[in-house]
Amino acid sequence: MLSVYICEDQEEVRRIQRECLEKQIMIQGYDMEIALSSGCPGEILEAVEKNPGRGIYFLDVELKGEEMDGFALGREIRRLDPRGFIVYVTAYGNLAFETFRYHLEALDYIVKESMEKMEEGLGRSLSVITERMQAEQGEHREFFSVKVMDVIKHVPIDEIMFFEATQRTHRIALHGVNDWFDFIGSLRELEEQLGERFLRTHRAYLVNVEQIAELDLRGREIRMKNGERCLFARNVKGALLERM
Amino acid sequence: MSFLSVFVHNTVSIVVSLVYVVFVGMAVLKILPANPRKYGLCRIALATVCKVSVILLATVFYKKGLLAYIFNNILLAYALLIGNALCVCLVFREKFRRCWGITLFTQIIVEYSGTLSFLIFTDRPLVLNNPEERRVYMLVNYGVGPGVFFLLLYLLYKMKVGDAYRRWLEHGEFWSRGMICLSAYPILIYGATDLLMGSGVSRNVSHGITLLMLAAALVLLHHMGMEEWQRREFASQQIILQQQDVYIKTLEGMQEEMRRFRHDYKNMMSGLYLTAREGELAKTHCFIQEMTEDFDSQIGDRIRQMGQLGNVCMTEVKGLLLTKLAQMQRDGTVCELEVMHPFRGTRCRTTDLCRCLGILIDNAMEEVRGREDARVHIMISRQEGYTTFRVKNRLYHTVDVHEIWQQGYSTKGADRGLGLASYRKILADYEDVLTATAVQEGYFIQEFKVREQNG
Repeated sequence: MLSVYICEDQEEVRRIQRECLEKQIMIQGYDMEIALSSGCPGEILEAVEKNPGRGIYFLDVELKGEEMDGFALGREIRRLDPRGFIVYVTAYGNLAFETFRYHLEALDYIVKESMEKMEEGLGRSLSVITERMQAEQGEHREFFSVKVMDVIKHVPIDEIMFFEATQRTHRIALHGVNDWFDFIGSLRELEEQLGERFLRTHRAYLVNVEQIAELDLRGREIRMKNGERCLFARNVKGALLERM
Repeated sequence: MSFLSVFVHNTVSIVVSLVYVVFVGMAVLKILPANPRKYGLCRIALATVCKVSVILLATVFYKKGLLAYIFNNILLAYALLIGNALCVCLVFREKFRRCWGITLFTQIIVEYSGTLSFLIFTDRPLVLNNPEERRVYMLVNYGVGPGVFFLLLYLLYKMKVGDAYRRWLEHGEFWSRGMICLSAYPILIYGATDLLMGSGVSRNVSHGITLLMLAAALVLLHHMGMEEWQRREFASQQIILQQQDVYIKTLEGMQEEMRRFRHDYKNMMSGLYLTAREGELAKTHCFIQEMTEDFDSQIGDRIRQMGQLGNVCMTEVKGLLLTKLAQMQRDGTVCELEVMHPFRGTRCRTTDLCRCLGILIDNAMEEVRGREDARVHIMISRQEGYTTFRVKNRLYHTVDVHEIWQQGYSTKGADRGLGLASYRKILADYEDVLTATAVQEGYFIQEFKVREQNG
């Protein structure tokens, strides 16, 4: 049972949102219920704290006269519910949304300029959320998560080619199929964390064995499936050949 | 005095001079990092070998009485300077030209303070074999001398000569006239002293003249540093003025559009009033919708964009974005700029920030130019003590991300593609900056994050 929360300071709009959501839930038979509908961010946060677990949050971007605005509220909710679904509601047609998506992993936004548009948006959000949840259940991918400064990045483990220790202390570069980024960490900790699938082939390289394309024994290089190259130390040659 | 005692004495004074150089490099000139990275053992070994050979050279010269000849004095002075510069270069992994600059600077001040101390406290050259005189020498050399040295350093620090010198080192041509003159100072000093002593001028006067020459050198340095600084300030002010000009023109343009819209708006409102009065609800609905859309497409977007731009409080970045926005408008590319919270500044040097951001935006613009629905998305976000700069654009061809960093790589032809290699090089220098690249759902995303000092 997913809990749905609504935070909207205009009472009339809030009422319409609640009615619309209840209708959608009933018609489509979703396993959801409206936990709280309020104009006060503080109340929402209290309720979320008391009721931990995944939720759906419809938040007004432009909360007027309250202690926190929509973004700040989203940030607090994200802290309490890392996997919840956050959908923003705004009066402005062209919301600058990337910041929300990037920092809060917000799903989408709905425009409240007309009743039809808002109802359509609410219905669509619920169906997208349901689709996502079904997709998640079918998915058996493992993810590697790491905190990079103030955001957490998730990369599917089978898409990681290797980790490389760069010249700066404690700075590791992740080389993936679609992601390349630096973060602070240590290869040794990663080795322990990731286990069998990754082999420490060199002082500076931790390689995903399943992504190795071929070995260059003379040059002591490993060529990965995406064309990138890593080095390996002499004493790892045996272990590498064994794995291949 | 035995070879060993001279050797020991020389070791002490040369090591002290190295310490001085490092101190000046760190504290006054602020070129050397205060927390150096790990030292390589072989580098330290090499530096030690270097030092010991210089010390040996000095000792041999002294023992063989070669220092009576002025040519040997000059040679030794240069050996000392080169030795120190090499050591600093090896241990701190800094460019040799900068180490040479630091060493020269330090040595001039050391000479100055040494000469000054001896001038004040003694009245004739000391004979070191005499223990009494040796004590005086030790006192002045190791007590008063350093005292005067640090006093001078403090004065120079306060007068910002250190900063001026550093700027001059960083921006000026290495083999400029000034640097050549400065590098020749041992020749000048020894040459002048010898000449003056030879022609019977008293020791005090000749030393006085030496001091004057050294002082002149320092004043020259300060002046040149200031000149360079002022030139740059002026240039950057010109750019700022130009950009403000563009900004004002854009705002004026928008104001004009608003005025026109208000005029149209009044007509639309009267039409709306009539429709509503005749009870045509559906038509009224439609009318209102059209009006809102019209407004949004005509100036609503521009207002929002300017509003986001208004959140950029750093003039240089604002100027950069304005330039890029103008260019994108000419190209027919839509630019989505997001600066949700006011952005006042970041830890990175402004020049580096503008350059890196510029490179990313240029690449994005290049990729989408001429395409249908060309869009470039730029986000600047400051949250919890971290600033994120993110540029996103649609990808129209496959990209081998690990190759794009190489100098000379470009999908647009030869002679292009130095951008990303420079971008990486610039940001690699920063401890608190992390970069990320991603390809997500057909979009190419480049970002760099800065950890700010106070959270």
